[in-house]
Amino acid sequence: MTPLHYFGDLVRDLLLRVPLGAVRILFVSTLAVLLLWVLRLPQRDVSGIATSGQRHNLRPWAAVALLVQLVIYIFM
Amino acid sequence: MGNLAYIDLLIVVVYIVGTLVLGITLGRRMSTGKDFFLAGRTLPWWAIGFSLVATDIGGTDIIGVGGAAYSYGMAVANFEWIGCIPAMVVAAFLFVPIFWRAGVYTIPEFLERRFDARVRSALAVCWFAFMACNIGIMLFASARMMQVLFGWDPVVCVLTMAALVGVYTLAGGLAAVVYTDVIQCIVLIGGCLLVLVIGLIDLGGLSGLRAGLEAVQASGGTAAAAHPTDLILPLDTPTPFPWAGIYFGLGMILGPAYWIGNQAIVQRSLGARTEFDAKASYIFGALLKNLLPVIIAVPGLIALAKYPGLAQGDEALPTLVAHMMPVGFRGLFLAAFLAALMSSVDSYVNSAATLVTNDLYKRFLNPAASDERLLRIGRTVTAGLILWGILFALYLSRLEGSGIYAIFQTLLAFFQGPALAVVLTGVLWRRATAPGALTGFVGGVLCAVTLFAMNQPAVYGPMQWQPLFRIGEPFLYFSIWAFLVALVLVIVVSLLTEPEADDKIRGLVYGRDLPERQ
Repeated sequence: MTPLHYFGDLVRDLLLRVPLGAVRILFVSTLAVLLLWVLRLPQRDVSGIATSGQRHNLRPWAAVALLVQLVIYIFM
Repeated sequence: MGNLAYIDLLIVVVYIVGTLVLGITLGRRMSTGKDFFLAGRTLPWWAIGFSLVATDIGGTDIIGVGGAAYSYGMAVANFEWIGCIPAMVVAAFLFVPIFWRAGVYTIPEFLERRFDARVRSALAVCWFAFMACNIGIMLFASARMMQVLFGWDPVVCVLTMAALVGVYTLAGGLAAVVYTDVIQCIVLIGGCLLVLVIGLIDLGGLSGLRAGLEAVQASGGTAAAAHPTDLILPLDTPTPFPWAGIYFGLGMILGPAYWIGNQAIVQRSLGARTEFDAKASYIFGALLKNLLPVIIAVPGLIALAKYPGLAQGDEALPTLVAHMMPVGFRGLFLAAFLAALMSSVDSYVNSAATLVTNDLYKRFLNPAASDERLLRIGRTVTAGLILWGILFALYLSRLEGSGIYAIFQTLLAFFQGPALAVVLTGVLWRRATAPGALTGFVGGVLCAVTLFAMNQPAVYGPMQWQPLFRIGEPFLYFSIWAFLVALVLVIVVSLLTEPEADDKIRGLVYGRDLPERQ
């Protein structure tokens, strides 16, 4: 056994103690934080001018993509 | 599903002819290297979005994801969901705009501007090796699958597929790749959707699927039986998808490395006609990605409910298609399979040619090369890569059974974590320096190689150690540690070296000095 083995076993034992309910919260909260980040991004970062000359906002579409993910990871 | 009716074959022929005609027609407009490698920066968001998804789903994925769902349950969907969508959203708003504004052809070219030529060369070599080998691997794996499904000769399959992809990629460059990907993505989604709908109708709807899976659960047996619809599996699961590997390895490292740093993926957004199109393409792709596991993984569950005793997971979808799909629809599924294969091979051929032409030929051999000369070089390299892909695929077929395929995939995954650390720090941290990036990249790759070696029986056996990792294919774990080591090295060495000049990095780092340009 090398120090890497001992370190690996320690990490593995720690992770094995994490209940799956807490893991689900980790997945969901990561997606939620990302969604909040998208909602708070400056307007210039999430919008742009298309070739038609009109300004379009991508924020709602990005939010929908992440919301669907949130629902999936809450229930599956 | 070996027997195809004439109508099935007709559908396949129509798909192939349509793809070739479109690709060759677009090829007539090529006159410069910029046209060939970046489609003249004229691509709209919807075409790039379809192309992103089609490139990501290869021919083997169509069968393999359904097969993994059959064997291990829906946890395989993590690769399309948590492994893609968050990374695509972050890439759309943070990274893609910076790459697009820089006006570069490749990610390594961006990294030379941000760091230096050594960092560019190190990443270009790794990505080129990955792409060149992947062309052969994809051709070989798909030909092998066609042999199993239809009884076709694998050598003929390799030659035919390579010739088809070669014709339109050689003629039309990135534009042909992206616009044929649009057709291929629609055919792919249509074909798989059909399998899903017909399968669900046959089972009596969602309630029938649920009842079938409950019966399988009650009987036990396969790994999928324990958690057929769960995405989050315990750390000691017998499947290759423990939650820690999925969250840290896939969601935090391999997913972002793929969507932010993979030249074959990012190149199409560099060819977008505006910065808005580049960003919108990734968001459109993310929306499409939400749908994909439903149409390619759920059929695996349908097969599990209906045919629970199959010897191998990869038999799931072909069995479903052979028994449930009526005449004509089988041809559509075969077209979807071919579309998935061709859309991935063409992207890797075009991107590998871009790396050789831009990061080797133009950078080191002929910096003054005209755009027309670059077009000729790009086409020559494309032809060479097709030939290489054929030869490598045929070589792999001789080594079949030696495990070389799995080892190769693992070896190629080594540099993705370190490459992500370099790109992340390059774009997000002004203080990152060229010596830091180079040290981090090399150190990260060495870390992955060391971990891989310590997990090989030939190494740990004589030393009487245990394997370092407890799961069969720990490539997700290699990527985590390689990324962390690379990140720490980039930070430490950068702080110990002189900062990069402000003028050099202006516009290349996320922050206040980014101009709004459309």
